[in-house]
Amino acid sequence: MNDAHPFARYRSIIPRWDDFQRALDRPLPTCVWANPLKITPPELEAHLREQGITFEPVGWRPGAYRLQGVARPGSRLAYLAGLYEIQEEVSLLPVELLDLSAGQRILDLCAAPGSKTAQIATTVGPRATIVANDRNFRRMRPLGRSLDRLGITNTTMMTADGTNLPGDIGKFDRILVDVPCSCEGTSRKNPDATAATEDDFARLCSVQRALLKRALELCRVGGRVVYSTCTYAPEENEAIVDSILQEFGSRYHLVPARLPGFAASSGLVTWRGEHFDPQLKDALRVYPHQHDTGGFFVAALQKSSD
Amino acid sequence: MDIIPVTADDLDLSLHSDLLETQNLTLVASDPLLAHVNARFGFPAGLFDELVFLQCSHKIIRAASRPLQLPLAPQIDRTGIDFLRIDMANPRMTTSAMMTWGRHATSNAVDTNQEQCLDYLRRLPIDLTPDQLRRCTGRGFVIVRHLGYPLGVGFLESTRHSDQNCGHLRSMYPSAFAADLEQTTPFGNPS
Repeated sequence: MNDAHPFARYRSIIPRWDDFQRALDRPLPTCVWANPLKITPPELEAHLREQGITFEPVGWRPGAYRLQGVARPGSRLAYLAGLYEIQEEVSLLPVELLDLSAGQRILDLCAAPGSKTAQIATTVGPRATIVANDRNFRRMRPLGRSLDRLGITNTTMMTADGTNLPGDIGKFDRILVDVPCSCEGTSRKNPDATAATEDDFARLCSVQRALLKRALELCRVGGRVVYSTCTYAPEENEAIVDSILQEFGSRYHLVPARLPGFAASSGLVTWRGEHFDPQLKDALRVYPHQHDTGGFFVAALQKSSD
Repeated sequence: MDIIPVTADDLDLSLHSDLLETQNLTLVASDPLLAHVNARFGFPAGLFDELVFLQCSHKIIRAASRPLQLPLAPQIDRTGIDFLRIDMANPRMTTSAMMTWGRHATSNAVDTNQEQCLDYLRRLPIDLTPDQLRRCTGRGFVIVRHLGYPLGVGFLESTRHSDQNCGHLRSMYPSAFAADLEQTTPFGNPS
């Protein structure tokens, strides 16, 4: 334990720092979820056993499994046939917090590469409409393949600047804003990921705020917007949500980002002398040692008026 | 096969009057399309009732879920999944459509053994057994499955025992997918 650690700037906010450091040295487990359009969880479990694949159910998310000792899960029969989708466990969180139900109109504002879109589309059922957007056409290609493989018919793809979507796109009941970020929380699978710098904040934070602001504008009254990142930096997390609450606080409020069986850390209300809206304790911070995952941040905002 | 344009009203869809033109989409009647695929694959009645069919180009008919609440703007890249290739003498269901609905097929579906499945995924031809051949009605496209799970499309050259190529099935597994399987197998053992 020393200050030369790449994430030492977060030492004061990360509980059980030694456990955190040790977790970063372990490989990230492979997580998959059963595609309800093609197979039930018990059927997938039976199939995995038949194929000699060892797995462990993810306790907090029915139908999700950690595979053990599978080198290339994207080459297995179950993947090729669209029976499961591969998605990091912690990135299942924001969609679970969208509070989805049948018939909703849902926007995934920064959708590429699309695992969360697929999770939304298969969770919410065929009579919903999902619009998956990303400004990077090339990064959207995997989503097209996933939709084909998984048999998803309720999703529309488009490539536009999410900060500048026209009003003609219409209003949405639910919006996921999984913004581009410094990706600190992905260091277990991407060793190049390191602590964000002031340059990163200068490049990212204005875009993150603009994306969240546009999402809130496109949300129907009574609807929900979930903001998420895979980074620890409060500058990209609480500070972004706080700035929106400061400017438009009367129209939006945070709802607790909590899921049964998934205990993690509350959002911060102070960071390096800066004070955030007290509602931000209802945001969720996930550190790798808490659930043997990557790092993540989620905040869920409800819109109360236009 | 006839492609018959229809209106949103014909399909009881509540769409903005400019939407289809703005997004360059044409709604098409399901009847001739489904008559074609049902005749070949024996899908159960009602299987496609919750879908609408859209022509997006001269090549492809797409299938998308109702109620199709598409944006008026900006321009979309795609909606739903590719359902039918129509730029050929005999229109065929796409790989994605076969994978999505192929488990419901009652005819012209080939349930492969592991060796045949591997060959199919490597885009190699396979020879069907007499029992597999009995479940096929004649030359044409078939659904290729393994353990009951549909994987894609094949082309059966002939079911006539007098033909030299009787039971010969050409793999039409997408080459991009097959490339992903180089140096591995879907069953976990080294290739």
